[in-house]
Amino acid sequence: MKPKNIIEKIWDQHVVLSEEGKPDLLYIDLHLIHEVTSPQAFEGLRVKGRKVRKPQNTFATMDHNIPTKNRYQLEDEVAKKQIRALERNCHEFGIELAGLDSEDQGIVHVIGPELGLTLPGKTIVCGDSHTSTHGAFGALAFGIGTSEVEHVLATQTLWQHKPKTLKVEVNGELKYGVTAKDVILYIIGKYGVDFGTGYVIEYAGDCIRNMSMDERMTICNMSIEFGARAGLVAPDETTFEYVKGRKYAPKGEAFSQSVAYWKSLNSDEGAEYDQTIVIQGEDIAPMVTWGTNPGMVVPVDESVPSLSQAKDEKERTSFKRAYEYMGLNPGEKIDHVSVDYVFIGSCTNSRLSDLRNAAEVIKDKHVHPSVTAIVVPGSQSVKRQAEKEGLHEIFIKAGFEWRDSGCSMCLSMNNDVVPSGKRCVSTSNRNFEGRQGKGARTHLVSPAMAASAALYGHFVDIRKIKISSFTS
Amino acid sequence: MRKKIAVLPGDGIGKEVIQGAIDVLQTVGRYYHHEFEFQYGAIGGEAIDQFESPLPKETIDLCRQSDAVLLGAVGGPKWDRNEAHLRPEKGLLAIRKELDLFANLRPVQSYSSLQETSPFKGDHLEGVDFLIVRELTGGLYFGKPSERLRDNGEEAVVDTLFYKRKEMERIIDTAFQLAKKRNKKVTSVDKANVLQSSKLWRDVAEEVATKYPDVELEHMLVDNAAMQLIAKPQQFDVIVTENMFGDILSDEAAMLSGSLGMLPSASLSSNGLHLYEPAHGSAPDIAGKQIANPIAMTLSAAMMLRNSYQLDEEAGAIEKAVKHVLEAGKRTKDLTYLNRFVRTNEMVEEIKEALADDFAILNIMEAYA
Repeated sequence: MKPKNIIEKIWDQHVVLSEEGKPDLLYIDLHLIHEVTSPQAFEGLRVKGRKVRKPQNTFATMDHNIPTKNRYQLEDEVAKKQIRALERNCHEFGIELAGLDSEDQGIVHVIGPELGLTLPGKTIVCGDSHTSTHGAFGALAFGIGTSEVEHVLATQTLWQHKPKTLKVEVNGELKYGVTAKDVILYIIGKYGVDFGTGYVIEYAGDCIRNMSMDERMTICNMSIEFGARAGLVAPDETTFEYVKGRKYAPKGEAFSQSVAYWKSLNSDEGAEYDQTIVIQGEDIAPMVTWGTNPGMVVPVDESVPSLSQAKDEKERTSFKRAYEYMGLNPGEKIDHVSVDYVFIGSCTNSRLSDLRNAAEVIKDKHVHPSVTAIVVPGSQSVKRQAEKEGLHEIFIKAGFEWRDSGCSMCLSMNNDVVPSGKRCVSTSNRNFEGRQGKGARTHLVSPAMAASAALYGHFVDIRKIKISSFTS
Repeated sequence: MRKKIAVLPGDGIGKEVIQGAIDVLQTVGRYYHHEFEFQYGAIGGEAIDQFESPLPKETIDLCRQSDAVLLGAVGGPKWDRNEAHLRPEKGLLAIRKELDLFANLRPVQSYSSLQETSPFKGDHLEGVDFLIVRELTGGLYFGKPSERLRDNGEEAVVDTLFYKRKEMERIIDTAFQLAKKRNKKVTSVDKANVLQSSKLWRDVAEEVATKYPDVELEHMLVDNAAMQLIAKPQQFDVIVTENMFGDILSDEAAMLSGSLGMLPSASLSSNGLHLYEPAHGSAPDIAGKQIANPIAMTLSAAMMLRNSYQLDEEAGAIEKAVKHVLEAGKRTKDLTYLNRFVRTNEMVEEIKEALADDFAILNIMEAYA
């Protein structure tokens, strides 16, 4: 038996049909849906007279379009329509929905793990790019388009070409002030946004092994920004501990049996990968994106790169365009760049540990008068737990707005929009032109970096700030 | 991008459908960050009423100052009994001559969702996707003499099919260039067994073909072509033909798309200022009732994005939105036998919503590879 890596193992365990020259047909264990990419898919089912094949393997929530304040006063017509559609569709097709008034509601990639729906060894899909987040649990999770959503609803399967495998080994330790967010930004910056194209990534190495589930989720979340289809971390005790006792996780005897199976998923000794890259944790500094894709990123103590640092003509053109759009000059020092908005949220960094990290930085201090800052917890559950710990008071006292959960300013589909020309420091995963609003300028950072930027009104090297019990 | 577009609504349903197309363009402009500046001009019956000319100088000037022209439709019973030079249709022929719009493009596609209202059985239309390239400034519609006369004291009339060789060369060359980017097959339609003009047309086609070795050329007599369009429409990729032949065949081909209300067209000029109009006319019998199908005009606007501005993605977004709306079962009166149909402005709203949905999904699913 040829040694297999975890990706191959999960893939082979889920193939329904495999023919030469054609994509494989994969069984899908968990299908997560939300209000934006599902209406057309359900309409397609309706028009063709089909049912959802496995409603019990499907779970829905509302996150992209919903307001984060005054949620029940939905003003946007499109949002209203999509939310009604999802309610109607879930009711009609028998799918469980964590809707606006549910205590389980939240960003789809936050609640999946919270509710114990996300489990090791599962194939998980969702009509959203950052589905790769669930890979943190040793699941094979990827984003799918609307027509594929329809296909999965109807058949609980998906046609997929078997991907190549890439091992990203992160060894060593992270220094003070450096977080999982910085690790993934560093990797994308070093190798570029196309490097992972065609691959599914296994993140390994002791640095990854030492990370909490929240940190692993941050890393896996941005696999797509590296060009990869999906990214995962092999499950271990940290994973089992997190999963244990969750609402939809196996319990008792079933849990122990599951753990035994989950342990077998680890990549075999001698398993091969199509490519491997190795990173040293110590090389990584707190990162800030300066441009219009996540690969345009530098350490906070450095400067906006000059044209001569671009690797070819194509990159030179995109640098020029990015300088103009972002209103930055080559050579400009990052920590001199002043900011207007700060957004702590998104499926990348909005979990309890992220909020705790940010709260540590701002405790007993106040947001800079020129900054508008908001915190959007990843789920209502995160919000409740944060409030139990009094984190919301810390944020509110410091001048942050404390909101209800949703995707919010990550992509500004709701009314949390950054005005044109304004600079927003965001803990999310994409800094494309117009992502947070037409003409809005986005900088991606970790929660602690976002919090410190809010205090000072410009980027700050948090390694230079003494934070009493800062743990990454 | 910032673009100036001349808008000539014209008569009848032209006004209704062009408003819809402008709404859709503005929606696309919002999502894709383009600024479209629309300026209105009069043409056809409306222009005769206002300016005593079916194509006033003001309108021509407006077009020349713009990047592209959107035209609704011209004609109506009110002007039917005018003298020739004061007929709305003259405005159409005049603008084609003024702007030297020599190539009329009519794409024909079958929509599987419109299958039930198609006059064809079952999957007869599966895979239909071709382009009719019709010569627009010469041929039978423009040849002189075109008049009534007395022949030995007897009443007679004459029309003329006239072409200069270079007029044939340029339209056939356009067809080959388009075929090169499609499925590399040109069907040249003529009546070479009878007409002298067709005999030369065929010779020219053969010569032009030698410049495009990877494109296949076949000749077809127009009467056979009329049959083939019904018998086996999938065989065509690009059809190129004379003005009148093209006029007839493209209306016939419109039935393959489900309705004349579905068919857009582009008229290409030799100097880059192109005109886009639906294949249908002003439909005076349904004008003002808000039942006209806005899709032909909207898809013409999409053709403008593609052919005048190279905004392929934006054009594709409109085409995809139309497809989605049809797949979701929305129909205007011309597309259904049932009493369940939406009004013109409702169809436009549906298309705008589909654009919004698709754009939102694009935002969520955007990736690199």
